[in-house]
Amino acid sequence: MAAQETITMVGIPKDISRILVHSLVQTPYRLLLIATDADQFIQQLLLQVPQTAVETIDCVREGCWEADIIILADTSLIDKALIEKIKEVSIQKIVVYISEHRVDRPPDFIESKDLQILLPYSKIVWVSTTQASTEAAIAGADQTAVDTIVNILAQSGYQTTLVEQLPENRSH
Amino acid sequence: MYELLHKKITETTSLTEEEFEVCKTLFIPKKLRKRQYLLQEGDICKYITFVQKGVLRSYMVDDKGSENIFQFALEGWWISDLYSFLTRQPSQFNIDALENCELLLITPSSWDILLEKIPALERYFRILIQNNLIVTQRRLMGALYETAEEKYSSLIEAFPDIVQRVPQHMIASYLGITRETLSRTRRQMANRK
Repeated sequence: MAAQETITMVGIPKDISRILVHSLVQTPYRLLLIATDADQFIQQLLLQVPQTAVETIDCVREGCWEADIIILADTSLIDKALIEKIKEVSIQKIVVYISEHRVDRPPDFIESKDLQILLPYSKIVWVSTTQASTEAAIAGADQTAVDTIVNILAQSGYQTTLVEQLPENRSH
Repeated sequence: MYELLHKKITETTSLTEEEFEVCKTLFIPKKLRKRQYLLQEGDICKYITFVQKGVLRSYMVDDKGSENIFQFALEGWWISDLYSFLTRQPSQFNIDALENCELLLITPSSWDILLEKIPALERYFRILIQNNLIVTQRRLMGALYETAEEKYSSLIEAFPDIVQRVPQHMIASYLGITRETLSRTRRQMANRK
């Protein structure tokens, strides 16, 4: 039996991320949710899968420090202050950015490419899907990180398509 | 977060500031809660682990379900299953946290990069592995020839505050003696003082 790894989700998921979370709770990962008002969301999850191991934590730095994988579930929360809090504790960790518009390439503005610059030693993986779909586009500079997320999405019922590479990270 | 790692490395090896900055980018900072696993039997050991804070133990479970503790790791110590880490074969060990821990983990690929970029660390890890071999040899000799009191005294010398942080039954397991023998030994040592 593999040691349980922790996926930390930053923010209460909206739409797509919410669907993904509902799938993730049925995988072997421990879910740690960073949100100040997550009780209703947790209750919904527990109704779906009563044995779900989901916890909440207030501090984003602490939550990401415990993480093996970080999912930025509410991208509206991403700003420089958040990045500064998680930068040190996300070194060499997979950080997933979820885009809720199905496109075949990562957006040019902000988001995943800028995120790689702001978190130079993290392994950024961009995932794009839509609410009605179980298909996802995925991109990342680190192949091992991409493969890990592909596997997680597959366990969650998603089919993935690898699209263009993101810029090189500096995780060596 | 990295102060203790820096201290331990520079006790045996010189590092420039730039080299240590590179070092920091290759370790994964990880918090583990009490009773969480870092490694379970059957996993491939993905990390060599440096303990910044807390206590970990490495142990095997026998056919009767008894836990046999191989190693403790307190602040400043390293822990891993080197066989599994280096050969990528399934581990026979479990590693879990006896307290909430702050750890620095390094993967095989990052370790290779680390040693390539910072040759001074080859010396550090060579000394670390040498010392580990010496300790393992002494522990094997101790298991064969030492009395319970001598084993316990050696443990206290290496880990002075371990009795405050680790349950008695785990200390007994590590020493290869029964709880009753440990209790008696401690009582006898205390009465002599």
